[in-house]
Amino acid sequence: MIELGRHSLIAALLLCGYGILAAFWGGYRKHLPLVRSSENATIATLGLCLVSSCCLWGLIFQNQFQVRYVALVSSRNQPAIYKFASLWGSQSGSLLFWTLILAAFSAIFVFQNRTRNRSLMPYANGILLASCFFFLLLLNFVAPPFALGSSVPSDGAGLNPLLQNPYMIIHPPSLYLGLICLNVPFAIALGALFSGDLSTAWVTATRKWGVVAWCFLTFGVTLGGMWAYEELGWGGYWAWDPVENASFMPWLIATAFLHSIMITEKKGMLKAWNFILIILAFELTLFGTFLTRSGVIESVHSFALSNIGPFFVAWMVITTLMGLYLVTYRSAELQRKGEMRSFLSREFTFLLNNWLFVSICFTIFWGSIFPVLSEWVTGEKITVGPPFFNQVTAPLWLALLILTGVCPLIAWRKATFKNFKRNFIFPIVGGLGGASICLILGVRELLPLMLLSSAGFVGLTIFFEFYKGAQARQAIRPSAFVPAVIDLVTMNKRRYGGFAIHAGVVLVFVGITVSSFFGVDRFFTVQNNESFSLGPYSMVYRGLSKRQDPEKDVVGAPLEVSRNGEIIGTLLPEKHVHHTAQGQPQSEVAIRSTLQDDLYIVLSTWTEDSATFHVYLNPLVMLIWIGVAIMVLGGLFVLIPDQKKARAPLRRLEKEEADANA
Amino acid sequence: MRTPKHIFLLLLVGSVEFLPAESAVEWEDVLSVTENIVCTCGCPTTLVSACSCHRAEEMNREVETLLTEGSTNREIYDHYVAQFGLEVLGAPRMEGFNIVGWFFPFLVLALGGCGVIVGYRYLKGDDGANVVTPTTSPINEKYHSEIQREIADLDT
Repeated sequence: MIELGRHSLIAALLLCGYGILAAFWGGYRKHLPLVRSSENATIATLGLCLVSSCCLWGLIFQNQFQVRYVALVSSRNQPAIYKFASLWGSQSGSLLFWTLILAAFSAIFVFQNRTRNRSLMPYANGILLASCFFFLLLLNFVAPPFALGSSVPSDGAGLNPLLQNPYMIIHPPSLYLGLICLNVPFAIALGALFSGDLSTAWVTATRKWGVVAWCFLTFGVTLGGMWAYEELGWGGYWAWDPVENASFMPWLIATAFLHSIMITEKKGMLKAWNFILIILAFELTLFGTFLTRSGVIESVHSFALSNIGPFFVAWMVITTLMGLYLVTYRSAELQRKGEMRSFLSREFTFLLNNWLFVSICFTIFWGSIFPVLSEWVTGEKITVGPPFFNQVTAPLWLALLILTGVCPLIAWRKATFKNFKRNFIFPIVGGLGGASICLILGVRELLPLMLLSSAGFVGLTIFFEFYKGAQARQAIRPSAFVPAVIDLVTMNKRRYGGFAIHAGVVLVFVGITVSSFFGVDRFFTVQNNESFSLGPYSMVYRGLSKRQDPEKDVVGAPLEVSRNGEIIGTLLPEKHVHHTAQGQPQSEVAIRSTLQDDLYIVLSTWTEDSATFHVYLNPLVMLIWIGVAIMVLGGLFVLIPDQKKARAPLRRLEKEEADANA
Repeated sequence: MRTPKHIFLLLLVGSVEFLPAESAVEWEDVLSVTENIVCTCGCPTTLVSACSCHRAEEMNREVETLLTEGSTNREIYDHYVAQFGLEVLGAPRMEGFNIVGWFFPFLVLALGGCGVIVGYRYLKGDDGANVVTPTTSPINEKYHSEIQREIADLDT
């Protein structure tokens, strides 16, 4: 099995190399059989990567500890589900998993475009194969997953206990799906630039793949937050850790791209800018992978130190230069002037939107790399953590939130005072009303006050958009309000799917603002059967419970919890000491989640007759998860094609370009 | 026989002396400091306020003691910087080279703002090449104003 896995990787590398040459040469010479052959090479590469991955999974399940990777990430007593997740538990296995997903996306893309987008397909396929080739090079020569250890241990070290959490089974794959999916828009964009086919095909294709990537990324990043919330035991879901930031930056740029591509679709503007955004999003996925794997920056999420960093830097430099060169080379064909009419227009708010997204992304990038830069200049280590990111990005988030309300409702071309008043007067009044309510409730800090009132404003703009749309539908086809809303939404999935995403964003903002500014936490040291309380919750400590599992020692501290005097159950915060993790105790948090608040309890320390708990009362955290679910569902809804394809702007663009070419 | 690993934790707990419950210092005052200090337990970039480990608990109590003794936030930060270096602060101080760290994002933001203005002017195409000038006949003016009104209503 070791040899089969190893040889599959070598064969995949050779096949990829052939596929790249065949794709580019076939595309250049317009030699269809050669192009088809390169596409078949893509599909065969997927098969070989699958064989190799199955071999590694087989070795993990068979406890073949002579393989260094298996000994590192698996152990005999490890539950089967975590053996399965071990494939992406450390460096070389996760690279193999990455390559497998990349090959899968490439194959899907090839199947999807057997008869479509033929002019750009050879180059797009060549670019995807080149990405696969890079990772296969690493797998064959730098981080081989089938390398043998110098000795055969009787048992493996096991997957890091922190990673033995149900979220870690699904979080990395979903994040990888999002990050790797961004390879496809990159390949399409470069394919279009290589081929010179800059009509509308690349616009539609990159947007759709961009939405898919965005949905996976949104889901993956949030699952990471949920994992951190449940597993790391510090009461929060986002710590501005460099690796967290690395997964968030491509999301920001992908979001900027999905907004600006609308301008290209409707007005034909910002083509070059969209190409730059696609390239940037792709490079940031590589940057994130580089950060996680190079050991350049300290993070709780990073893999062990390795020599893989310089290869990623080289690949980033090559792909960036290639992308920018092609954009420059085609710049004359990418220009389109004269469509912008006014500052007070939807087009201009899209520019502002992109400015804010890119600025936030840069700030996060800068904060992530500044410790390295500072140490290099001053010789002294520093930390750039939450205080920096919260202070610097908070005003930008606020501006972005307000823009979320303004952008979809302001008129194209030029807004007039009349339509401005008609669309915004009620939401503005509502937002000010929300601010008054917050003040009455005792909110005195400026930032949460502004964030919450802005969220109210945006929420109302969305509500009125649905309300007015449904009323218009009722005027055309008399029906009850709810069927009219359903009719409205299904008639224009992109528009109302987008509004659903914005509604999710509002919930996320409210959840983050309230839980960050109004959460409370306390340490309590109590004796057996002693009670303590936080907010509406009272807890009685019922004494230590200890047990030994095959892979860990467990100390639990059961707490009988009541809310407003009514007993609601028992929570059991625990500390686990894994036998394979050098004795480092790991918190197992006890959480009682409701829509209103989360009671979050960490067992900090203990003696035989007392225990210390770190208790958090986090309000409205559930809103964040609900908001993200709405965002992802909204994204998926956007992908469903409309029955009547309202493609008028795109057709106009096609016609204009055809006329220009004629 | 293997010693239970948490025995070390138990010993550590036993060595901690808790402060009296009637401390004059509010928990929020402690938080205002611990939100800006990195826990020295070894987890990178985890703030004391966000860490639930034994070391975080110790540091919380140290901060509480220092505040009770009348130390200012700045003095407490200096106390930890003297022990652990600048790395112990959650964000760099606005001094020396680190000023760049704080202000560079705003510089880029401002440059981006200029870029938006330049982009707007470029996209607007101020050469007037594609601006249609209406003729002045009364009928055209009537239609023109009607069209402008409908356009204004169209996209809302």
